[in-house]
Amino acid sequence: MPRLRRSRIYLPGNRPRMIQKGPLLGADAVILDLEDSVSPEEKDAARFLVRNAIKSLDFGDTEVMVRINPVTTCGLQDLAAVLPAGPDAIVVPKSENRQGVQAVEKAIRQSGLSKPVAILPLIESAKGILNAYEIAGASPLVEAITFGGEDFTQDIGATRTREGREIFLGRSMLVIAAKAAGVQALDTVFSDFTDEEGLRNDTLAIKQMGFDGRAAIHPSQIEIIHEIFTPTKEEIQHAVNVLRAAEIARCKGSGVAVVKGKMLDKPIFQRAEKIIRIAERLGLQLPEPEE
Amino acid sequence: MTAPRTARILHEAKAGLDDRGDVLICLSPGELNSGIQLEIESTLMSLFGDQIRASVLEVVEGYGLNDLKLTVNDRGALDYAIRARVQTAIERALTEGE
Amino acid sequence: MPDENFVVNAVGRKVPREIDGRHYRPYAGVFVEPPKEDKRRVGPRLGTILHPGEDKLVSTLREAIERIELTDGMTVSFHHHFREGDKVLNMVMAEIAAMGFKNMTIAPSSLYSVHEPLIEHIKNGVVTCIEGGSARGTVGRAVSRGLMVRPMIIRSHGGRVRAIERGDLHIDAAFIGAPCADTIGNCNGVKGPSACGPLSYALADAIYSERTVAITDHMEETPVIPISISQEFVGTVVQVDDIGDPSKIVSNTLRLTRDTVNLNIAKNAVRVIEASEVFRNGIRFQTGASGISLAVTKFLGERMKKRGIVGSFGMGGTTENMVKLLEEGIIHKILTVQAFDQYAIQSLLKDVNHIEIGAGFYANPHNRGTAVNLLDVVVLGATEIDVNFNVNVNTHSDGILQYPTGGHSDTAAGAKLTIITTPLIRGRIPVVVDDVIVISTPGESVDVLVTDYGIAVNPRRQDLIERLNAAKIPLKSIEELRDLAYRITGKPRKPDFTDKIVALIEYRDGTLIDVLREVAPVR
Repeated sequence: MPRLRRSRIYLPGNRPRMIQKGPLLGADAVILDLEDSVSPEEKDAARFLVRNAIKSLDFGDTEVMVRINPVTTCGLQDLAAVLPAGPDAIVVPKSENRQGVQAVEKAIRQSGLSKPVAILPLIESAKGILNAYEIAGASPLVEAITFGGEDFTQDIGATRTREGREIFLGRSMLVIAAKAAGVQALDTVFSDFTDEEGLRNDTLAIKQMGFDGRAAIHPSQIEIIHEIFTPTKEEIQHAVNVLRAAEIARCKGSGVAVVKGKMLDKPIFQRAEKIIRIAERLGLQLPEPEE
Repeated sequence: MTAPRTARILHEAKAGLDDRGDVLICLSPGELNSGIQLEIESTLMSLFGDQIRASVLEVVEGYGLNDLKLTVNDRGALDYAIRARVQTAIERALTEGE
Repeated sequence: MPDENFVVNAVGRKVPREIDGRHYRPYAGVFVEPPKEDKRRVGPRLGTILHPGEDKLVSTLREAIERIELTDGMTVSFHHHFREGDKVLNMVMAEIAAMGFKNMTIAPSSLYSVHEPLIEHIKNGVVTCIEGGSARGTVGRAVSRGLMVRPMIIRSHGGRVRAIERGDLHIDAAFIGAPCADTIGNCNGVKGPSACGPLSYALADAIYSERTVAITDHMEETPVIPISISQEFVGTVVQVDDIGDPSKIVSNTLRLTRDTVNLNIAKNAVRVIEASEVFRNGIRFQTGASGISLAVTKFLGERMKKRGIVGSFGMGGTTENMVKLLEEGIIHKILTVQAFDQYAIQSLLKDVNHIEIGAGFYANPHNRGTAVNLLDVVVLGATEIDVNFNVNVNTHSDGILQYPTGGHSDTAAGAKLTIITTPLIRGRIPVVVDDVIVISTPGESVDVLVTDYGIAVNPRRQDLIERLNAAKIPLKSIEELRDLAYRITGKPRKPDFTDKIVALIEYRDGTLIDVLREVAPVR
């Protein structure tokens, strides 16, 4: 099962103090950024800082990702510098087709690292959304595709709103592409970090759409994001019941399992299994099945 | 194994940001046979002065550099950041046409 | 100083038995009964006797100083309720210097960076000894660099009152900045443009000093109400233009920390409190005014409200946060020894259930009872803490004197549950260390350390460890936290000190818990 990526947060790759906060934020993943938050004159400095940080700092259970620059600019130099330090994943920005991903995969394979490195294409344009399925399947190293809502909105000439109507289709297409390709779908940030209610509503909505997580723009958002992406007691109980019913049906040789009057079929079992796996990952206690 | 100390930097270079937790490095070529002149300023001199000196020199010696002046203005940077900034300054100083 | 003069005390520090003409017993434990002969209070002489129709008002500060017959070598005292907004100490010392006095001892309850002019007075021989709570800013730095010949005495709030009542600190003249006063010397701190709240730190001075001068910038009809310091203890009253800068006395906007990591420290501290045996109706607690402390007060209030728990009292260092708990009925009362914002001052003035307590009532260990003994829980800070849970609050890791003990060792001793909240590292400086530079509060009185990298419980508290385990609160050993800190920052060198002792850290019972030496110049 791929890693839990309920939350991820960007840290500017040229600011030591921000990078050092990484292990303390409690996010599932931190992204040490070499792209948008680093000015062109400081790209070299950021490379060394990020490389050294990955080697020396202890991020504990937090996944350490690096957002490189596009391979069409200095992305390959970024990879040459940071791969030897052994990051957990590479975020590939402005992904529009399979070539970018494949160039990154090539660099990873050539680096001779024994530790696996995942690729997370960041899709932030109209073209990228249209090619999302191709991008998601461009390499076996791709474990998730992520949505860059702000840039996407600009690209299609829309206006970003609190309710997110303008990015609804983009989000949905990304989810469909991701799940068809068998990878995770991760959503964009909710920019107003003072709007707790807005964050909750938006995060609940994207969870219902099928997203596996989203980015945080401010550390204070992480707790709420986790709350929503963590299975509730009721969901876990139901999942336990479902799997028990499935077991019973299997033992009886009967093809059909029933829980609370509802017939269960394969998608429901798969969903229940996923919930149990997440609960186990989080060290949550699994209850006994109800009668 | 350290490289023989014969390499020289081409020109002045700086690295680091004026920020808490960072360190400002200024590198400039020195006269022939002037050796490595290192000046360190830090709010934590009494506590970490020795370690800062050792880390900076290690990075410089790794490049086999000699005859240069290095000023380090530390604002409580951790070791990994000090090394990264020194390396950045050296690479900049070795790059043609900056 | 000969080695035989030194003895190792109960926290493993070498301290002198005799220094600068003072005799000390070494620190021997948190609650050691003092010898019988020490259990006495001194009494001051009676100065001014007023007849009907007379008052104590003089027109200038100089007149006041002449009237009290101040002489060379005397001890003068001040309170620190005005914090960085204080004008009284500088004003009085400037006059004392101008009048040609020398060799004075000053006994401020604490010093702030605004008191920088003291350095000149020290250089000119006007002031030759400081018996205080500590020294911030340039004065602290100067003392650490060996400016004074005689060592500075550092006492906690409770320890200072103990010393005054016992006569160890003999005050010849107390200069009391009184935001509101009348012509015969009744004072309070809740009215007037320089209102500061209580006058708790000045009470013992007024009662026990040989001479007391009230300095005010706001007079009201006699008698003023409320009366924090009674006319019975004041001999002279003088009115001046300004005794303080209101914008620096109190804050209008004490900020709750917005930093997520610090908020998490506060949340975890409250989780510890909630899991402990003290989280029940009638709980009595004290927090402070730092960013993390304000958050602790807020979160504690929220948890108490959620669980339907009503507290008996909150104590402080009082802030708007604490007052809001009183207003919402989450606590019954507030006991105030210092006010940090206007909201707290107004509450003290208007709310019957918000009272002022003197520093002795608050924390003097050698009286018949103190408020700190009633505390269930106190949440405190630290500059350093060692693997035995000994806490340093007086210096930075570079050995420079900067902060007062305040009520730290007092509340830690009295409270059932003492929690230290702090980031594990400040910049590149590890907070959890092998050995602290000076011990301000002994580890015996410290129960829990809550940092951003984990929580450690003093092994003496197995009962607490069991409770926190049961509540599924993950714990680390304090050695683990120290190792973590050193791994991130590198293990720092200890700063270099000379042999000269520049400060004596007195424990609240008057024993010597540690000494601070002069910081050697950096090579």
